[in-house]
Amino acid sequence: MGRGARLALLVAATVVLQGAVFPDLVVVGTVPDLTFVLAAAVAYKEGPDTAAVVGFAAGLGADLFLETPLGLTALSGALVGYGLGVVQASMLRSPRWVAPLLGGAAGIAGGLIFAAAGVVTGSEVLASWRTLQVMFRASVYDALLAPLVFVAVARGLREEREPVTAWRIR
Amino acid sequence: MVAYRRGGSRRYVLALLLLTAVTLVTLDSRSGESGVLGFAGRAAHQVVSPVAVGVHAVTGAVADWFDGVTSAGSLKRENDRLRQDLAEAESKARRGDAALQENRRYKDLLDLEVPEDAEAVTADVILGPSGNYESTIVIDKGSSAGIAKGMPVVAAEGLVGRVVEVWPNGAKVLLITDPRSGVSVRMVRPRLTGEAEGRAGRSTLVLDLVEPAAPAPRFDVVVGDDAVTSGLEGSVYPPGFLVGEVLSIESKPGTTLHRLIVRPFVDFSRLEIVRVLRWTPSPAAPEGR
Repeated sequence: MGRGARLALLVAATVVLQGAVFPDLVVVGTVPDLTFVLAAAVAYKEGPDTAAVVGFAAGLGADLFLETPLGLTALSGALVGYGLGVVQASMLRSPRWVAPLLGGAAGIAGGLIFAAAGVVTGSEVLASWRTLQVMFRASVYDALLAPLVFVAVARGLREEREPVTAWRIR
Repeated sequence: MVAYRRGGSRRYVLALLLLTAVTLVTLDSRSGESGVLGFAGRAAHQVVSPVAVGVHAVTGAVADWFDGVTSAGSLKRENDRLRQDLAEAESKARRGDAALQENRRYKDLLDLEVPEDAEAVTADVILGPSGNYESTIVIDKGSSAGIAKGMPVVAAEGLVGRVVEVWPNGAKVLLITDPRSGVSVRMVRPRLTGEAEGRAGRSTLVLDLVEPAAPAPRFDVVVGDDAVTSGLEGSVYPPGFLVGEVLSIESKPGTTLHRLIVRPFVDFSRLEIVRVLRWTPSPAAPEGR
């Protein structure tokens, strides 16, 4: 399976989990923002360009299940993926807790961008302290799930080398 | 970790994505539920509905199992309590007829035209909100069961919300606690009317009431008073459904404005079964009132 197809599969799995599974797994009144965690994991593995595209696609899928205007989560996902891709490129070494760290950061950054864009498009209700509290709780959930998502992305995008069956001399 | 060395030449990818997102937001804000974008949302719900039903069945069974394990010690006590409750219930049932008659007189007194005979569809709640900034639920009955957009949804305890999106085998319900929801309510005592609105991330409603002018009875709403749907002309909810009780009252000194915090009777975190009323508001009804 090609790399693009594997990325598409990861995006589809994320959308289904976000739209049909995690609404049933609410913890402390919040659901995780799996879209942003996926964008962070792809940013870590692939860099900002791919992460922006994946964040956008997964966000667009998640938007289909929300009442907020279509495109808000896609916008946030693209920015989070690109931003974290640029940040990780400047990191000299990979800390041990990179997955929960980036997952939590993605949740906070994505939530802030989502709320800000929402306010701009007329959802004034997102501009409240309560929104920040929810955002913080969701980012903790994101951080806890991040190691699983990072492992899934690493395995999903692992290069398969063709086995060497014989030496060939030209 | 990837060492990303490409410069700003590839930023056009991000710019293109942002431009597309902004375009979609604009188009969606203008077209609402109609058009291609609205169709895409309904199609997505329809596609994942079977997954959601399956997941709900599994998580529900697991949750029930955990409940059983953790509460095994208290089952005997609960059994005793239930026997006592049953005896009390039987006693109350005998007084039920009298209470029903009293209730009818009470409603007549308030001129509430409760559509008790309204046809209803019973549905299971299969999903909560998929995002953190909205209060919605997804039910397992949709247009194939006769459910349509705008229909009110109730539970045994009171008003739940209204249908905002529908597909053949499911529907999305906007809860009354969502900030985009507004319910025209009437206090049972005194008969003041106002609009109860949801608040972001909160499970209560806010209701602003203006103290009536001098000839009318003075403002004497107290904590614990009940609010019901008013059913005023243009309301999207039929009259007489319990909404909630007054939790607190904030009165601004020197003004006639009183802000009431209303706690819904329905516990939305434990909601499992709802009834969708096949009742449609008058054409003049504004969005979400």
